[in-house]
Amino acid sequence: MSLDVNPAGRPPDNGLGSEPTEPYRLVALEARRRHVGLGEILVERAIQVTGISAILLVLLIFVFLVREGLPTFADVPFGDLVTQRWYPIEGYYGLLPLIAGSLLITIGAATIALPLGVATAIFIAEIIPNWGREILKPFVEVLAGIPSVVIGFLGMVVISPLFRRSLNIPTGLTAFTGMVLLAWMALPTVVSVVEDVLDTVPKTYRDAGLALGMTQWQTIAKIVLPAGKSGILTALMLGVGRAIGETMTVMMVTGNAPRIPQHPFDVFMPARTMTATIAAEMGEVARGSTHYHVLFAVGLTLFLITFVVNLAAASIVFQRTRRSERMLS
Amino acid sequence: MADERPAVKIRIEDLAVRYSDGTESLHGITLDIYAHQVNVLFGPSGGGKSTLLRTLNRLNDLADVASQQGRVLLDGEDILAADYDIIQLRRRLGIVFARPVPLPMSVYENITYGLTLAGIKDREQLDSAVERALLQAALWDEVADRLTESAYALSGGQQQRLCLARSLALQPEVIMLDEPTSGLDPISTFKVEQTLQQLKKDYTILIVPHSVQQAARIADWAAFFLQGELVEWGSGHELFTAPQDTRTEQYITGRFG
Repeated sequence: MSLDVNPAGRPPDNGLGSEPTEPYRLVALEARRRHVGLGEILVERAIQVTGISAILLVLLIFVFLVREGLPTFADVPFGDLVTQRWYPIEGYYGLLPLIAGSLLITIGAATIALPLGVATAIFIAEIIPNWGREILKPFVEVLAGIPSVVIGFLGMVVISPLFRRSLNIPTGLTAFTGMVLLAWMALPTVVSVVEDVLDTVPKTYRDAGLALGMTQWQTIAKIVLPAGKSGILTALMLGVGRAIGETMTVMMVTGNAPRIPQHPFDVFMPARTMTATIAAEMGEVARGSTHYHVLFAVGLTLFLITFVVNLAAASIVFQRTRRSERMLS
Repeated sequence: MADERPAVKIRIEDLAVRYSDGTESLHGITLDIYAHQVNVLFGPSGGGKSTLLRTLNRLNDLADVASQQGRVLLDGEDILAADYDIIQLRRRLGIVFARPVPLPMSVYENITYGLTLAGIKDREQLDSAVERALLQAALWDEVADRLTESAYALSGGQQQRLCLARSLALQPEVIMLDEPTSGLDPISTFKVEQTLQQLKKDYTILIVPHSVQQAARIADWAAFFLQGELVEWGSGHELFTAPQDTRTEQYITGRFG
C-alpha cells in the first residue's frame, strides 16, 4: 500500500500534491459497503426515530392546541372575540388588544434590533481586525445566553425607572420598555446570522468593488450588503420569531394593560401581549372553563403567527440556495 | 535584447513583498511595464504574479502583508508611498479577476456604477460611456438589448467581458487581467485575446495568462516568475524562442509546471 507518490528526481515544491489515487477511494468504498452490520442499522433507525419524533411532537402540540382551543368558538361568538375588551372575569374575551400588543412590541423590537444588529455584524465581519473579533464575538454569544427573567429583572429595576424619569411618564412599565429589552434579546440572533451571511460573501466581491475605486464603506453598502440581502431578511424573521414568542421579559416590563394603542404616543403606555396573558392567567383558570379554552385559542393564534413567520423565513432561505446554485452553474 | 524600447508606464524597482504566513512572496523584482503593449507575467502558480498585480493597485493593503520594500513608479510617481491617493490609483489601474464578479445589479448599472462614484451623473454621458465600454470589450452586439437584465443572467464569458467593460468605462491607463480566461471556453477566450490586441492602442495591458501557450500567443513583452523570483524578462518573441535561463526554457517547453 505504500505507493511512493513523490519519487525522487521530481523538482521539489512544484505544486503537485500527493492526492490519494482513484483505486484507493474505490477500495475504501467497497470496504464501507461490506461493513454495514447490525450496529449500523440500529444507529440509522435511532436517528430516524428521533427525526420523526420531532415532527410528531410539533403535530401533537398543534392537535392539542386545536382540541383545547376549538371549544372557544362554541362558548364565545366569533364577534365577541374580535372586540377591544379583554376582561375574562366579566366574560369579555376581546382578543384584539392582546394581538395588537404582541404585534406592536414585536415590530418595535425588530425595528430597533435590525439596524443595530446589522451594524454590529458589519463591524464584526468587515471592519474590526481579527483580535477584536475574537473578543467581541463571545460577548455577543454570552448575551444570547442570559435568561429572559434576568433581563426582565434588569428591565424592572434599571431600565423602566430610567424611562419613567427621563421621559416623564406615569409608569416605566410600557410597550416601549418591552421593545427595547426584546430588541436586546433578539440582537445576538440577528448579529450571528448576518455575520455568517457576510462571511459567505466571496472576498472577490470586495476586491471587485475596491478595484473600481470604491471606498470600503461604499463596497459594504453597495456590494456586500445587497449580496447578503436574503440572509439579512432571514435574520429579521428569526429575530421576529424570537421576540413574538418571548414571555417572561415582556410580562415583567410592559405593564400588562390590555388596551389597543390609539395614538403614536401610546408606545409609552402599558400594553399586554398574548404570551404574557397566557402565562399570567393560565395558572389560576378553572380547567375546562370558557376562559381556559379562550387562552388556548390565544395560544393557537400565536402558533399560527409564528408558523407564518417561520415559513416566510424558510422560503427566503430556500430562495437563496436556489440562486447560489444558479450562480455556480 | 532589442534596442528600441517603448515608453515605460510602470517601473518596478527591487520590489519585495512578504505575507505574514510566508506563503507567497516576491523578492528583488525589477521590471518595466511598457505603455501601449501587452505585458505578460507568466510562470507556475505560487510564483507571485497575482501578488504583483495586487501590489500595483494596492489591493494588498487589506491582505496580511508583513513587509513590503522597493519602489513602484507609475509615470514616475511612487504609488507605494503612504500618502498616495489609493482611490485615484485604482481608477488609473483597472483590474479584471480570474472569476467574473458582476455586481448584483443590471448590466447597465454594472458599468455606470464606477462612473457615478467618480461623479458623472449626466445620462447621455453615461449612455455613451456604456456603449463605448461594451464595444471595446466586444460585448455590445450580444447585450445591447439586454442592458436592464441582471448581470447574472449573462453567460460566464459574457460576464467576464462585462467586468472588462466595467474597468474600461473608468478609462484607466492600465488594464490588469489576472487569468481572465481561465474559466472560459475557447471561443470566448479567443474573443478576449482579440480584444486585448485592439485595446493596447489606448491602454497599457498587464496580463497574467492562464497558460504558457496563451502567454506566447499574446505577449509583446513577457516576464517569467518562479517562486517569487523574476527569472528573466524581455520581448515576447525573444523570450519564447531564445530564453536565456534554462529554467525558462524548461518551463516553456513543458519540462515542469
